[in-house]
Amino acid sequence: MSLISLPFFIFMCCFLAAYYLAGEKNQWKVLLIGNAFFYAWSNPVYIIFISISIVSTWYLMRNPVKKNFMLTIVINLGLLIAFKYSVNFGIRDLIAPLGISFYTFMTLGYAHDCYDKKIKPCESLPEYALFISYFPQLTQGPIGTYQEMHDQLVTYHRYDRQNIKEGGYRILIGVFKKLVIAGRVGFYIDTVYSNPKGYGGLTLIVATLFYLVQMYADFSGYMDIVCGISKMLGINLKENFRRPYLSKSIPEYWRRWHISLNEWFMNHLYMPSVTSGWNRKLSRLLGKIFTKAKKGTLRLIFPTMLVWTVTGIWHGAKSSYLGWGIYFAFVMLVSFCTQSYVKKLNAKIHWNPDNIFIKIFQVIRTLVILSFGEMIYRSESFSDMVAIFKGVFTDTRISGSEIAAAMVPFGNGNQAAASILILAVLVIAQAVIEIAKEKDEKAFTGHRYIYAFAMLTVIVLFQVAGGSNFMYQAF
Amino acid sequence: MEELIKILEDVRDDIDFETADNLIDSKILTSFDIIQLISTLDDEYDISIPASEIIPENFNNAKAIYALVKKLGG
Repeated sequence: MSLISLPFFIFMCCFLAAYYLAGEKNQWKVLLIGNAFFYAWSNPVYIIFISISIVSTWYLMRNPVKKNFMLTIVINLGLLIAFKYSVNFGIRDLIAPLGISFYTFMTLGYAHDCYDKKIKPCESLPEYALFISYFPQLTQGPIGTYQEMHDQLVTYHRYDRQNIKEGGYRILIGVFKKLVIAGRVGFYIDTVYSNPKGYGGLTLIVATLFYLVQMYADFSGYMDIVCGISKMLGINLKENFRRPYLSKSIPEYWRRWHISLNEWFMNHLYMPSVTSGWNRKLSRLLGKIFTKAKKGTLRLIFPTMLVWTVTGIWHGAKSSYLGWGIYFAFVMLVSFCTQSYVKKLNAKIHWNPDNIFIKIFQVIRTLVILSFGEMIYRSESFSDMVAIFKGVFTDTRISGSEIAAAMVPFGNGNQAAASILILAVLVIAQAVIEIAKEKDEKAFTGHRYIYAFAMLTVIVLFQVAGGSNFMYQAF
Repeated sequence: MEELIKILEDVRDDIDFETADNLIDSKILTSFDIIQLISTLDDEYDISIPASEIIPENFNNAKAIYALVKKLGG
């Protein structure tokens, strides 16, 4: 069930009524039934697989010894690999159960924390099931931790108009980002990237920038919708994005983009590999070759390569995803290894890191490095990737009609200029409101109604004017 | 303790570790600082810090880090 669809809207209205009418004792049970209904809507058969994961993990981790932990990993990773990569093993393409990548990560995180004694195993199976199957975060995250979620999910939430208002506002922002912005730039990217050899360098650059916009608007828009739905239930989800495109370095970017996934990798793969015996041995060997290198830095090399390779493959078994992972492993390593030299150099040439122009330079530099990574990620084959890089660096052709084509989704001629202007005003207003609210929660409280009304008008206008763009509702 | 402060300053020279507190809770140390720190402590004191000990309470200030190193036999 898509979150932007009539069936979901009806489901949500009925569910909210049942949730708040259920009373103190039954509210969490209503939530569990709601989760099951939401899940069954996609394909009732798949309830079997999520149930296997829930029951086995809950049962095994009640006694969190090594053998049980290992068995939990085998069962859950086994199911994930079977569904996600079966086509790569020459077996027929199985359709993966809804949200399997996300709930598997939540499950493994829970099991690891139990094994490390960071949390007490959940005593009640229904409560554990509630945590894993919580419907707003089930399909695309954020990857919640048991520590953050359990108490919130089982506590009774009284009906609060403020939560409904704030949640609704957040959903509206998400729908705007996803339908109006991400949906609109999508066509151009698809066209250019499906035949990169046919376009000039500037066109490829515009398409890549559009892709950055699309990824952020689509993914963070989805998160806004999900967090808004959850807010309506009185439950706060973890924020998954913190204005990532304003990061001053790539390591900082990865702390601000898809935060819950990156924290998961940090806690459950990176940290354990940094402290593991195999890494200690390998980095000592490296230390004999690079005698001047800092020991701490050497210990990061293998875990960084491992985590980024896995992150790449997690996105799917495609060479472009693997290439993207290796690219970022390389960028991260360069960043770690040169950190102290750059600091010394900055001090020598009297660069003040707080200077606004230096900050802007760093943000642009980060966006450029990021764009190269996304060019690898988005290309459909190796030869396409080569063509894209070649085009960007060597093809100086500027085609007016190709650039004009980028504007088509926004309307014709003056209409395009007007709609881009309206969108720009809305996006900037949104950023201003967000930043002001971070400093003072009460800022812009009244003005938000005006903003919400403007967004709603634009969503409706764009969807009606877009006509065929409605197909984007089927994402 | 002095030796530890030196190691800490090697990881981040912009923090006064003698007085600084809440290094993790106030997000003064980034996760990568922590990793560098753990690796250096492992080598310098010939200890092995297990992943389960990497919790904020053990890294919030120099005292806590010192206590952790001692606990692990460093």
